[in-house]
Amino acid sequence: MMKKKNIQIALLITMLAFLISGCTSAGAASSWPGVTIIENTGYVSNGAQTFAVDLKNGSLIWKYPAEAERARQAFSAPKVGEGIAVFGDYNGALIAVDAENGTKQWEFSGAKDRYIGSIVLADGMIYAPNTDHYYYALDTEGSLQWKFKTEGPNWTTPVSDADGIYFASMDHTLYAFEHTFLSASMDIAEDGSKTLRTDVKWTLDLGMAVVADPVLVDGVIFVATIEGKLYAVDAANGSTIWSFNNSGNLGSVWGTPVVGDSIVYFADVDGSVYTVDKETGKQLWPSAFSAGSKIVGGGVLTSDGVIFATEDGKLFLINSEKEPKTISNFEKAIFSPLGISGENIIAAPANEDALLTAIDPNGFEIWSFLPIK
Amino acid sequence: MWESLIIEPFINALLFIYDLIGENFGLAIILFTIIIKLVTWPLMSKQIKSSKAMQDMQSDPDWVAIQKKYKNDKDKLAQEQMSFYKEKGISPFASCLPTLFQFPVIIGLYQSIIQTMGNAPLQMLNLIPKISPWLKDVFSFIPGLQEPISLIPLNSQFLWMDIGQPERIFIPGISFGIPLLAVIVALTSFLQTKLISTSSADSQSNQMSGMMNIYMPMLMGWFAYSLASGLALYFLTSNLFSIIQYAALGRFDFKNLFPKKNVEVVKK
Repeated sequence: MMKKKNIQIALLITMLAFLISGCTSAGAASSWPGVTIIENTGYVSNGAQTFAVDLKNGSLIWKYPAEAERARQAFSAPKVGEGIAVFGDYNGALIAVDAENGTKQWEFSGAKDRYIGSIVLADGMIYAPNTDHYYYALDTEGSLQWKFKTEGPNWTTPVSDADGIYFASMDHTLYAFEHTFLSASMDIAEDGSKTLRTDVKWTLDLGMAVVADPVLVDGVIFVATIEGKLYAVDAANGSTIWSFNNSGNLGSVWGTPVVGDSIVYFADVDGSVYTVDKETGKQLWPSAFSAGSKIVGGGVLTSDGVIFATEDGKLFLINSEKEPKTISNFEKAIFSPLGISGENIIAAPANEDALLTAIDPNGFEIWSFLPIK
Repeated sequence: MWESLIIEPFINALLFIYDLIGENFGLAIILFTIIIKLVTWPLMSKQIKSSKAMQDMQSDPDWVAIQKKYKNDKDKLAQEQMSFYKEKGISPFASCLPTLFQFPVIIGLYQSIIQTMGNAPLQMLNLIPKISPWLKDVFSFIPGLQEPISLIPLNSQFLWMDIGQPERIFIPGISFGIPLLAVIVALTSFLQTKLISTSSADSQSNQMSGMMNIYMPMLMGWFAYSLASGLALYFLTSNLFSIIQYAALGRFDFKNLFPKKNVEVVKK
């Protein structure tokens, strides 16, 4: 009788453990697929594995690791250059694999926290943002060249041009650096690691954290904050050319702004799409277009306008005249940025049926890719 | 409704405290837990007093006599029990109703701490719409208050720990991290259950509470070991507060820490 009671208590406590564990984020998805499209190849990190997919037919080219590791969580979009694909994971590992076949080339494990944003490959260097408050600069062999400490976690992908490299941090600051540094500007630790002192080219206080990847076009950085403000910043000196916040009514911006010839398109988590003049920041439509559902991922520019995806799974095209056209409805949240391959639109609805799906401009499915578990 | 009535106000209150005390999230968790415990103090006191009355009733000679008399007639025993409650002024629901009221508050506190600690995109995406400027508007007379959303990302460093990660302390010469907070949580859970537990005339009840005294601290220690240290701080503050509360109400007995075996009770 007593033994039975003991078992009942043990069961009760175990149930309580499951209940409390269920209230936490442990084991739950914490992000959405990170996708990069390069011509006919799609690279996607989604939790336990990273895949390269042939976008002509949706077939698997390679996957890393070969067998899914449950403890691994990777969501930063792989970036490809100089023959390697580089991506980070939540365990602080930055991994480079052969872009053609997925064979591991090297791993940098010097970071202490998560890679949420993607790396950028520029001028023979890899710049990697980490949530441990550092940006890491490595050569393409994976050797750490220097690191730079910020006041907060770093979630966004840096941007670069011939003149420099630019980081938008969660510490509310946009940082600009030259591509090269004198060794005199480094603090060299006992282990040989070099930390860059704060002699940055310039910084700009954005007043709020940044979670949306900035974009750099013709010497102007377009960067949006979580408070809902879009800045156009002169990359040469860090001065604000203009800023737009829709009189304080702009929601939090998570997607990279889409910069056309003369118009900047962007959307907020309230589901509103805005267009502003690229040169002046003046709002072009009298009012925003309401998509009716949260927009998280950035849009993709086509010859007919910009395509956005919503939390309720709708894909729609909107042109500069504010004329919307529904393309498809996945009925599943799409938070990842969209891509274009040939004429097809590539979306990552990350549901149980498909990780990547290609549809034609009329919304007809061409193929879908679902990794074998 | 749950989100708008409980979680959102709690998240905003946490952020308000965080801003007020100089952006220290560990301290904000501790203070907020204490405030919630103070607010629910009258309910908890009532529950403690009621459960004491129910326990005392078990050893009341009149009640023992009634139980003996009607041991084969459950309906009659239930009727007599209700009459006995009435006669002695005991409300059988007084010990569980306060718990029912407290439960959503405690769960809400727990969930709001988890959500505010969000350090991944999906968590942050869910957190941001819940942050409202109303507390700043209400307390606009306090100088230096910031826009709540500008507090993102929260400073997750508290003492040696990262509030968003499981706690480990690294000591020079030892290659692995020691889960000090988990050990303290398990110890305070043990102290709490031991100090406030009372022995019953029923050996089965005694054995059950003995089991709980072992399993619960182990479970709480495991949570503190494996979950974010912000939650472990909440567990620790909550345990310490409960111990103080029971002490203040005179409901705690140091003899429970080293009990002598009651042979008579076992024989029964």
